[in-house]
Amino acid sequence: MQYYQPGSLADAVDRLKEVDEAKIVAGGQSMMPLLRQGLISPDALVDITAVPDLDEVTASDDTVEIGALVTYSELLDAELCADLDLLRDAVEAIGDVPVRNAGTIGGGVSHADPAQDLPPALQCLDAAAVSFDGDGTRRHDLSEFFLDYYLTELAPHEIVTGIEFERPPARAGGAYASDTEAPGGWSTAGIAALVVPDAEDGETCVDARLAYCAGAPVPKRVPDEIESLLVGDRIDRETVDEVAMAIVDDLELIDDVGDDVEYRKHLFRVMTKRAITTALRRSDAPPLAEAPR
Amino acid sequence: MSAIDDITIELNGEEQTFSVEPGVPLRDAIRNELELTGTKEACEVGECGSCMTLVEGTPVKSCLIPAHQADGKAVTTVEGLADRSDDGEDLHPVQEGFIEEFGMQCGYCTPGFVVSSVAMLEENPDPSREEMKQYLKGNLCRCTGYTKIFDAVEHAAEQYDG
Repeated sequence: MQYYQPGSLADAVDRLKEVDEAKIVAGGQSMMPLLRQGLISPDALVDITAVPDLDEVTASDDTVEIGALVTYSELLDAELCADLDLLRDAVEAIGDVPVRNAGTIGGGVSHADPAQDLPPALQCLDAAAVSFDGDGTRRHDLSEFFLDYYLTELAPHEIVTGIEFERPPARAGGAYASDTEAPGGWSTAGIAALVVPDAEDGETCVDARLAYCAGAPVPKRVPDEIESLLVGDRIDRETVDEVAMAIVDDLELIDDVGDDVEYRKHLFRVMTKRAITTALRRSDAPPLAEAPR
Repeated sequence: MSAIDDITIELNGEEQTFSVEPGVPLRDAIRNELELTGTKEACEVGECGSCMTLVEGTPVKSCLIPAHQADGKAVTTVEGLADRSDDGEDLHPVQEGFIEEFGMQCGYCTPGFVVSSVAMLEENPDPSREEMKQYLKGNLCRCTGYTKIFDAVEHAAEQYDG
């Protein structure tokens, strides 16, 4: 195996193109376990940590750009995470301090583990992954980006250079709720919610976005017909229950050894309710309305 | 680039150059090339924290960091925490804390906990128990139930204060 540390994106793409089976490594938190367990044996590792200009968080009033090499800890320290509860929740749910110190946002997204905590939050923010393939840059809608377990739209020599999204309006509220079997472990159910109340009356939900991880082969934006149940009125408890049940029906859980599908469904029901009610509480809308009797 | 590369790190304050094969984690380089075995190996996949190491002062699981990435950087292992500036050896307050409170049973996870705790107290010299639990989530101990470990860190934090 060869180890390359290219100093530019173009150089990195060239290295990826010239070797049959090359893998990109950045923070190492996903790639190294695969290597160590013998699950992959690439001919070359292309370490992109020396590529310049990929480690900045750039946030204006409207748009946010996060470089691929920004670590989760750096993201948590950025002012952006103080403003965006949804993003902060999701980053805090990732692994533990040392994992967040090394793991990068570009690496996580490219690795495409279906149980990763951050993609659902990014999907709710309508984020795009920006990539470079040697000829030009492409933008990938993160709700379409993940194709299957550990599989994305990326070509083998294509490198994610960053994540971009537009800031949700200040009156919106967001939250990520998840559960893990052990502290620091993979999420067994994770759901992100973003709700936007009407600018005029302050309580009618005009936009609702939901996405989940660990419930399907990919981190998944919830189908529009489920999200739209929350839109058009003030959100009440009955509707939240209905949405939680609909999400449980949408899951593609595998009945695996040691896994209890019914319990996982229960977790998704609870986490969905928690995410939506917390998002609502953090928005400018009044708290959850009880269903009319 | 050859299949084996030379890497230079500042290990516990001393510059060290060694050869490393591609993809070898920093932990294996520290143990096998530099022969410091305080950095433990256990889970191999970044779950247990036994191999916790400071790279430029930041705690990372050294089984998950390619050794190449430490090239040119300052690396601190548990062996580098005690103060040897005078003739003797003054243990780090965190090490003292683990001894005073007996924050261990079999001791295998202890170096990892000590390194993580040192990093935590650098950031936050007076952590609450809840903050300790959050920060030390990446270190697993299968013996103690953690109570004595948190007592040890609290003991060390008191030394930091006073």
